Amino acid sequence: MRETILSNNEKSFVEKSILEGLRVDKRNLNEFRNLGLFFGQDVGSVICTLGATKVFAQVSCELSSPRTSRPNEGTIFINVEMGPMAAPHLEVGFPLSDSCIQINRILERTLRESRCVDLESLCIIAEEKVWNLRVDIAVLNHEGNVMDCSCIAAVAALAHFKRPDVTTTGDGEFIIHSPAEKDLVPIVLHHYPICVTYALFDDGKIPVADPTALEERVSEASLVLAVNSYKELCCMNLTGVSLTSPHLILRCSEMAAERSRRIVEFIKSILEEDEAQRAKGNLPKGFAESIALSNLPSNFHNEEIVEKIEQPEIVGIAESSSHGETSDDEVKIIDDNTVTSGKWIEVTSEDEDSSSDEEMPEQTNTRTSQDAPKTEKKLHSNESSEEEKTIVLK
Amino acid sequence: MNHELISPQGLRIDGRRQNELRQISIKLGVLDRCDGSSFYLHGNTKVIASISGPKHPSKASSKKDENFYFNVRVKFATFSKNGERQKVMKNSKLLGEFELNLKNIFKSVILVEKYEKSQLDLNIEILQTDGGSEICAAVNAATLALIDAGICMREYICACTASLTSDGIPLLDVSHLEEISGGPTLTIAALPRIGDHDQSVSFVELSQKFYLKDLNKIFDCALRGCEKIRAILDEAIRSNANETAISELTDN
Repeated sequence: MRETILSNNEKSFVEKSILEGLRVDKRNLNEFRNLGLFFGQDVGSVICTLGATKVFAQVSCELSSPRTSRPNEGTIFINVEMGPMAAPHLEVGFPLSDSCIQINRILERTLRESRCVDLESLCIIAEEKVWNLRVDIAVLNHEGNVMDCSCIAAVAALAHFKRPDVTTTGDGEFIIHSPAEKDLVPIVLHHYPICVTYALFDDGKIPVADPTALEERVSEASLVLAVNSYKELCCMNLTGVSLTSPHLILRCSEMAAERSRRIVEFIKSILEEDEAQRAKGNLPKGFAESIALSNLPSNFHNEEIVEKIEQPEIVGIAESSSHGETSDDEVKIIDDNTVTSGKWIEVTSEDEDSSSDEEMPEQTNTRTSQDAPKTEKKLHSNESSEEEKTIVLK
Repeated sequence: MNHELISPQGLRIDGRRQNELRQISIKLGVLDRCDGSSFYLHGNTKVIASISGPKHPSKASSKKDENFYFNVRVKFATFSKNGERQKVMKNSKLLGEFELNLKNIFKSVILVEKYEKSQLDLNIEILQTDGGSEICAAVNAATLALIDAGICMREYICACTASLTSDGIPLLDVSHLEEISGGPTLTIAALPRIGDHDQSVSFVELSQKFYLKDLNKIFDCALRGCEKIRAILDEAIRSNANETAISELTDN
């Protein structure tokens, strides 16, 4: 099926708004959408949501023989699939569509060539048997910026994954232990590279962070920067029918580094939570529970906001998907009435030039009680499924 | 394999200085049956590019219903890489990405308004590769072929690679050996002044990882390389045009 035609009206509207610094979904030019990360029952499975874009990643491993050029290293294979489920105009099968090729290649470069996974630790017997890691990413919903979402999902899945333990006896023999015999071993990640995408408008002069599907179609070019938390640039890709200046690229890379640092902290914190829950023996209920609600909300908080608003009265907290039983720190609604004046904290990233830490509290303060009925509803439905983590502040 | 990328005397493995390009050799109009062609030699990398068009869109193209059809086909000769014969890569993601990048690079410089509803075919045959970024040689060869075919473009588009040693010395135009034993490689396709930009960049690709603070240095190095290559391409085009003009005059 062909993609629905982009009308000239829509195109020029988006372009003109961007020239004035406005976006169709009311974000700033440097603002990212809400991010949600939910781990599943299996190790190495995760759903990542970036706004309405949803991506599912699963890591698996199998034994194979190593590459001749690198006999003592394991191998990693990344596969991104975008089918009609993601968007009706996408098709599966060869030849791969242009955008699919691009996402695949950029992820390969980001994860494989930047050596983020320690492949030497995946070697069992040099030149004969190594672990072959396979990261399969399925795009569930394409609403723009599948690149970033897939990257975060892949990195989180790799960090979450645990492979079976292996002991080598002499003479090239080895025993693979089942999870019952020996605990599964996590994969060693040297660093966490995170992709940040900017769509370029106005002849390559204006970068717009985290484009939606509409903005992607209207934009002329896109700049993908993969940065890790050590401020190392793992991959950079500027493609599209547009010319841009080197200064813009340098500027964007600084902003991307900041964003990447926050995302890596977030991934690590969610991983810790999941680890803690599994240690207690609470396996997550699985994705069916998390997707029970129509909109997967985010569980990414902007730390600056939470710090600045001192001593918030925490009215209610609902925990996120990786929890099974109702525990004490689940929904604690002190008083239903107080919820009506609650606020929904939207995640916003900082503006690149201003020290917007001061601006943030003002922004949240101006949120009216229009948001309150929404939060009220969410809290009630959360009682049964305990899936989202939301902090409602007074 | 621990070669010193740059010796204390400032010489690289192949004897160049840190900001010297490899030898470039250009021949235009090498193929008779197509509208424009070029043979581009860059160090040990040899590329032939041919342009066919503008022409009536083929059946396969017209199914897509666009304004301007630009088809790019890249082929690596089986004997092109060092060592074993290379398997024919069909439907590979690498090739797909290569072709997609070339398409986007040139669509941003060709004056598409002049070629509405027509098709342009670019065929690139890579005869020998040395030096990681074959896309560099492909872009330069394609620019020459487009000019040889008389296609209207805004400017020359030149591509160059740059790398960084562990001491932070930028190296221009990396060869294969330097690429695999050395640091990250940055590939840029850029063109000189257009509009408000000082220097416009059409395509950027980075392999491996390196510190953000070094980005400026390596970028500058690659951009200066692009300028040098542009001068070389320009000279080749003009001398070729002179020769053709002179030979036409003397024929009559």
